Amino acid sequence: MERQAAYLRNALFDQGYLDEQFLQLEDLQDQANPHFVEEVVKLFYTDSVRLIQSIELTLKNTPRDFEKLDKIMHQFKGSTTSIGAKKVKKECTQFQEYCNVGNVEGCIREFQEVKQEHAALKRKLENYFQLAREAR
Amino acid sequence: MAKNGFFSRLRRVDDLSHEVHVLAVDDSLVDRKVIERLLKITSCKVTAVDSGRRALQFLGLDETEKNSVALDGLKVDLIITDYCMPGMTGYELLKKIKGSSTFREIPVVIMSSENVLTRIDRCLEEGAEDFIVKPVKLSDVKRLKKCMFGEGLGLNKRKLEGHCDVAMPSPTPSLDEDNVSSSRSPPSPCSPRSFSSLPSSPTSSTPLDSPTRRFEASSES
Repeated sequence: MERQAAYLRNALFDQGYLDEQFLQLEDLQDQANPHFVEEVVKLFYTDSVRLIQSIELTLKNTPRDFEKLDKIMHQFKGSTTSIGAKKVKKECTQFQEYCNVGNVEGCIREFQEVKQEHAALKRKLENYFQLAREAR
Repeated sequence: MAKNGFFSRLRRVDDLSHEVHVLAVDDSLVDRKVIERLLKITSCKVTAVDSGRRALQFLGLDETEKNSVALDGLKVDLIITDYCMPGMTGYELLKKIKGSSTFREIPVVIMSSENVLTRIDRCLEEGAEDFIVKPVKLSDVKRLKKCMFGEGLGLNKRKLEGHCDVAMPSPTPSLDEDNVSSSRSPPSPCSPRSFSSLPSSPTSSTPLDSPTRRFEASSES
């Protein structure tokens, strides 16, 4: 079980889902706070729901408010950075680039990518945390 | 910054029962949780708020200055704030704090996800002690704490000498223009995580002699 958890964790790094910041968070865990990373990740996913909904709504309104979209994405991206969500962050940056040039189709398409990566990472991390907990 | 203010801060830190109390300001829930943990791990007492407004309220500085007593009476030793926040930005919060006779002596550190030179300049010119590029790492917080408050036990000789010889990723701080520009460059593996690699606390000399201020002066020339 422990090996499975470790394997999953390494894969997340190797495949570029997570970056160094996730390691930083792991370093903040100790006996008194053994679930810190999981708590932060949970918080991220709970909190990002409203940001995603906000972007979705703003994307539907015409004319598109790129400034607002960029602002919301900036917040969302900030959180992805804080948990080390590398792939999600990359898609966020791409979305912001489309915003900057006012490319509507690009934004819409890219937002789908953001949501996909966001969901994919959630599944993987949930698996990992589950295994890690069972391994203890 | 009054000389008295500096020395009284030093004395407070010498009191072993006094934990460094940090007021953390960030509109992001996730970032607040992380910064709180980073600070607690470095043995700081933390109050985390989600806006500049709430920070001012906590300090007792909201709008009118008539009530200058902090809400729970605890002295704040350091304020660490995000730059980009809705409503009041970290920069605006910094200005309000530095504009207050009661609170201007509290060091303020700015955090930002964007490494923008003009932004860093503005903040330092307004009196920010340091500027940290997000994501904030444990090493950033440890360095900050060590630089500003010493090792914790007794008088910190390093502080009196005006040095901050904490293991810094940057080369020996000097104030010539070359080092100034190199420490401002976008983060590279070896460059300092935060903008200021210079000692952040003044010696017993006047604030004008403090390295950060001197640094500003040289950058204007």
